[in-house]
Amino acid sequence: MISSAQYLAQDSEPWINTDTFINLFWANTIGGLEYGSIYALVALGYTLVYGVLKLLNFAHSEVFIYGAYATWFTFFLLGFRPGPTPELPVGELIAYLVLAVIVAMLVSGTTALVLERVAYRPLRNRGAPRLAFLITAIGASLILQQILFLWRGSNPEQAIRLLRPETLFNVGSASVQNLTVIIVVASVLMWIVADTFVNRTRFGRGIRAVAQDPDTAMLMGVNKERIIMLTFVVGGLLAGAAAVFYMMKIPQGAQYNGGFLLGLKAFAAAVLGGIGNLRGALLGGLLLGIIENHGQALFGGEWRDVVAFVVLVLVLMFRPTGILGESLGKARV
Amino acid sequence: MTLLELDSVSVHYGRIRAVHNLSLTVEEGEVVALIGANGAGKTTTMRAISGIRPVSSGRILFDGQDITRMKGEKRVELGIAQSPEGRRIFPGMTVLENLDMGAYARKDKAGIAEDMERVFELFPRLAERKDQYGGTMSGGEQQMLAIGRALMARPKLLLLDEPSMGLAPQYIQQIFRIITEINQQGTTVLLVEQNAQQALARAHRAYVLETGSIVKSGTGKELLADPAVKEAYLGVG
Amino acid sequence: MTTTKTPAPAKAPAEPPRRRSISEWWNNLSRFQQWIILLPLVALIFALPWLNPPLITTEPGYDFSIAMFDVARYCLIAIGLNVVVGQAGLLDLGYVGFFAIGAYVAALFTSPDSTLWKIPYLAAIPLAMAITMVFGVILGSPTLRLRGDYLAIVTLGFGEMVRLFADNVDALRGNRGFSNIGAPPGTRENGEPLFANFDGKPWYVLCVAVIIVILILAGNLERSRVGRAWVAIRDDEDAAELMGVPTFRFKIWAFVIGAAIGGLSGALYAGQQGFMNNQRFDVLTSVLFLAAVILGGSGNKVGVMLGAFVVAYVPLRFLSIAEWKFMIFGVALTILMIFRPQGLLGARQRLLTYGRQAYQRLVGRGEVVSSDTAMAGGKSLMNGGNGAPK
Repeated sequence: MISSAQYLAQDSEPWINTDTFINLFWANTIGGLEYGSIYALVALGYTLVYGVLKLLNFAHSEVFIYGAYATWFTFFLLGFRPGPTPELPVGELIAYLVLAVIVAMLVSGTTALVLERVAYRPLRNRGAPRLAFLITAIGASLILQQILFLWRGSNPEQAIRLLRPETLFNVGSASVQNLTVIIVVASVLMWIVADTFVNRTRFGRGIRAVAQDPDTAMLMGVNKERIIMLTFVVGGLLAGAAAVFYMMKIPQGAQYNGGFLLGLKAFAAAVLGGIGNLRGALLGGLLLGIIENHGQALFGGEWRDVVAFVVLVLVLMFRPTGILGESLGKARV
Repeated sequence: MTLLELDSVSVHYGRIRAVHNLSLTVEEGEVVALIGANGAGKTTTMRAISGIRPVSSGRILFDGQDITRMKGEKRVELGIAQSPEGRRIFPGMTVLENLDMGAYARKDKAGIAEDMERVFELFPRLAERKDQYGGTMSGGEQQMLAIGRALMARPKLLLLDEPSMGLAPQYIQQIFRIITEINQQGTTVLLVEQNAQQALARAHRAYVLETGSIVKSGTGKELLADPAVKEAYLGVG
Repeated sequence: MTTTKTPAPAKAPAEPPRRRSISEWWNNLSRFQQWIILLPLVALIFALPWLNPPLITTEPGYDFSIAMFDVARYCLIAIGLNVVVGQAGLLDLGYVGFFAIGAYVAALFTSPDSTLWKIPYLAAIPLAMAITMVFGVILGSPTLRLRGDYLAIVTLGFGEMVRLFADNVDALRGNRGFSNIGAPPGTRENGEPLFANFDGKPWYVLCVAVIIVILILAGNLERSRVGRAWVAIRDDEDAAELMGVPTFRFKIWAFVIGAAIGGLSGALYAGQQGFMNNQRFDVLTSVLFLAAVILGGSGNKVGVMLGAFVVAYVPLRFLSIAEWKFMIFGVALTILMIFRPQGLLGARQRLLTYGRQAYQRLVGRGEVVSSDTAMAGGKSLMNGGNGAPK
């Protein structure tokens, strides 16, 4: 597969590069799905918390990046180092990856839980205004980020790779690699698990009830505090899984502030699909990934992030509640 | 036997005192009505009993147990269920899911299925609309769902807050008939109503609430005949 | 049958705690007395860089006059952001974008590195404000119809976009930047320009003068119809809309005025630095701006300047903790929100700004219109309203 960035570097003269767009259409779509799956998993965390608390949890990007660091340290402690990808038996490889996913999910889930307990819960107990929650979210995000910065410095942890890229099959002019398949399939599976959890289980019903009407949920015997905790943890777990895929995918490795941009885009994805809506998170994530890749092909790599935000603003202008509409359960989740 | 007792309960919203030194009792098997004008503190009393609103002084006893500081969700497990003012149906859940929510605190699957049957018997309309979303139903249907949902908790005490509010007359009749039926099946009912005529006619006993305090109490019949009550709440005299 | 006595009407609530004694005292002074106190204070503030007081100075680590200019610049930014966040209640996380635009406009029209035609620096300042206002409208009109959280995220995106443009648009020269950015006219005795970038004093004086003008203008605005509309929007947007306040238009106004002040401070910054490139316009800077407003007490002009002082001064005074500053401000924000969400100096209820003077004369003391008494008033209304038979 030709990397679109390399391709663009060779010839980025015209302002709108339709040739690149057409030539790399399939490659970019597939690559977009791959990024989009990661966005979708992180977006689920935003959407769940927003649905239940109407809180824009800025610190979720840090919950995610803690998962990324957890992944890196898992690989590191297993004895792997940045550099060439080692030759591993398939069984061992799978075991390591699963281990990384478990560790990252635990770390991110715990981070989310601590965040909820330490930062947000005291505010709820005091009946603080909404702005206070947003400010706290920003403050907490800053703290979590700075802990990484003061501990590991500003240099990224060099990526450690375990999976050797292999082409599995072709779609149109593009080849599909094993990594892509793993990321997309695993993400969609996780989304299905999350969706089933929210829509088909007792706790999931509790989450939806608190999202729709917290007082009445209490009248039904729902423990609101426990549901809120649970929501944060579920969001954290999904972010942890996303972090492993992210670490397998991106070239530059983990950086203390690396969660910011990804978090922003994941939030954009959640809004794009309709925040508070689980299907919206999936749809928004995948769409944003694809749009971003095609935008990059059309306008050049440096405009990738700009394209993402322009799309967000346009969607908000014409459909403020996103493509599928707002709220956990209010739309047909 | 006394099922519920409020002992000089006061409730504040910030500095506003909404309920002041309110005492009342509900005996097992009774239908007790709480009537009063808008803002008299009826709904606040209900919210305090369910634990949504904290009590600033006084005690609430349920089944002989002090529940003043108990969390709302725990009170549901003890057997207090409420159909709140304004019905508060979960709009994004189907009728079936809403009823399931009513049984959230319960684990006995067989009992839940049994109660579901019972609710559908009481409200055949709900059975027809099982898969409809709560937010898309009419006011009367939502009221049935709200009562049905509260019954799904298999409560010892059913709190009904304004079950007739905003309903067409034929629904009002039906709802009150069903309340009597529920009571005859063995559930104690505490009913808050602005429709004093109906409420007093159906209730064993009633309390009249004014600006957060009880000003009169008696049997339903006594109060129906009371000239002051007639003038203030029954629109005659 | 029992008849219980109707209880006596609720006792009048206790006097609200008299915590605001300083502001009460201040408000009770006549305009003349206020000026008597203010004038020496202002003179002292102007003289600070020359006084260079021993404990307060940031030297030898950092030139004190430039440090004071930085503090003044942050104060200006905080005042501008306070219009948006504190007065209209709009959470703007991309304020650095306006700041950057102002700085770039000043650079583009005065630096020899730019291909555009050149204008004097003093003419570039109003131009910078005008252009940032245009950007304020461009950003505000699609997003201000949205709910608050969306606004936060879109403004965050806007801040990032400005940075990305600065990085990637050739005409903005990326990391190479612009040098020899213009300055106000004037020369020293030795023939060097008065507004030199190695000396913060003239810039400081200019910036403080600008702050005073802005404060007076903002004060008037606050007491005007616009200011009251902002308070209404901040407190309850839906209610304001129902009362017929054209909320969207007033929100745009807040946003645009805030943007203009941001652009102004950016232009001053570019002038003082003399050199400008794409660094320092990241989101963290935006968060720092916001921290200044929130720390001090959003909605309170004195408060936000205090906040700005803390945010700008502390890392310069204690250079050893500079690396920790984001951590410290993050912790400060979080703790503050739990224990004192209104900031160090909280905003007062300003709903009755007009009525205050009259009220004072009537009662003989300062403002007592707090939320508590307002609610107590509601209670007595309730008492009165309930006796009537239905």
